Amino acid sequence: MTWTKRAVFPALAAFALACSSSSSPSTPAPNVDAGPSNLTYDFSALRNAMFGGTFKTDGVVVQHEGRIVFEQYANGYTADKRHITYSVSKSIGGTLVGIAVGEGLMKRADSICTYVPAPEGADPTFCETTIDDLLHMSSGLAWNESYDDPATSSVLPMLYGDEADMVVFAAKQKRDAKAGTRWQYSSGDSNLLAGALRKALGGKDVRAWAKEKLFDPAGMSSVVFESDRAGNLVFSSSCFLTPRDLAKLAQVYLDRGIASGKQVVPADWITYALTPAPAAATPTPRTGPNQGGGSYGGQVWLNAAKPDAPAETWAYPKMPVDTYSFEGHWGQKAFIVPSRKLVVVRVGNDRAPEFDSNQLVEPAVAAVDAAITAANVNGGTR
Amino acid sequence: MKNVAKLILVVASIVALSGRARAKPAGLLEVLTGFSAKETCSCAFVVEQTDDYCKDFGTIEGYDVTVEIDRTAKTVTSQVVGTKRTARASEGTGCVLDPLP
Repeated sequence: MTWTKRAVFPALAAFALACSSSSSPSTPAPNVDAGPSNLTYDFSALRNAMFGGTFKTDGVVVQHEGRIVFEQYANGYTADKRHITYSVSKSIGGTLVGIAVGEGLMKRADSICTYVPAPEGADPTFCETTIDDLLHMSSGLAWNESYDDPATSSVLPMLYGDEADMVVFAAKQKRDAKAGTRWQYSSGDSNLLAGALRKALGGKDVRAWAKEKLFDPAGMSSVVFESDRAGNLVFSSSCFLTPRDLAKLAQVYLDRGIASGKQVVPADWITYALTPAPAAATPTPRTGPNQGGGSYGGQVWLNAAKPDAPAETWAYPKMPVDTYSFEGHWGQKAFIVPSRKLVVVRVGNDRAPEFDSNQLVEPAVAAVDAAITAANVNGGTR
Repeated sequence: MKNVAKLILVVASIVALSGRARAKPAGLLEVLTGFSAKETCSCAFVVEQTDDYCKDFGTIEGYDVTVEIDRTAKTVTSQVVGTKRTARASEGTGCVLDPLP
């Protein structure tokens, strides 16, 4: 499998203005919780990597064992200010689909046409695509996620052209692969899921349902999910929330779907989301920094296609193999590292060069490992 | 990538100067102003950043895009060589682009 990873607007980014706002860090916010009582963390390396270089980091939140142990903001952002997430929205939307599947409102094996009727002009085989295929970015529908040329791009006219209904736009794409056989990153696939969920809810307000089922139980009070003019949530790229709230969603994944003692997301859906798509299950080498390698599950990025995959096939060689992530354009990241009980969220405004996520997670893991080692040396019980 | 961007800029300039920009639905100028209006709107009314920050966020190098943020009406209008797009914000639901006129 080969893809240009986490690409949203790379071409426009190539000639985007350098952000004029300073990336100098604000006064570090006090930690909400100092962490487990017998651990002392040193995040100076992480702070220097994220706020001392050329990348435009707007905020970082690190949670260890469910507690915020590092938090810092810059460029006018604070703990209470929402941030754009771009394609992190896909993972949030996918989670909502997972809840709907768990409640029996949808089935992964269903044809997309169970929910989204083939519009006029759709490929005759449109209905062969299933919800499962869409979750796996394997619809087989033609899609150009490139941002080089509006004349050939699929995503640019969908998001910024004059398309009133992004679901219909995605549904009109011609088939160029058999459903389920080819992995291809597609914002169209994600927005088809948004249309399917909306129909599955049978007229309920999707935002209100999402608030009731996920955002409120998880304590994510800042979420604003934008829609197209037809009222479909834009699963591909338009969810806004604070970094703390993104960390809360990541924690729900780390805790196998549980938030505040309640099973908010089905545990078997978490397993599904973290299992490579069949068309992305073969380990393949990276083709460059932040390019290729890794795998993709149910709207979630996976560092490796399997636990024993060779390191040269990991998306991020400096992260633990079990790492997975929600990722969006211009540096929006949420990494979950189960082996360390660690969540690392970073938001930014990276235009060019591209932010290297290894620089985020590697020092965070090192700080946690050092804290645990020190606690053990000092006679702790960890 | 930079070469591609330069090519797009040149093509856009030629199209704009020839007065044919509006004859190409979902073309570059519509996308540019659509991006600028929508993302600046979200920045201003969902993220609640400052006008200066948001205008910078929604600007693309190489294009003289005029961006107007109306805090009262909760709209953002972006314009470049005759192509104008407006996005408007609603409480709790964020920003949506208006249809092209």
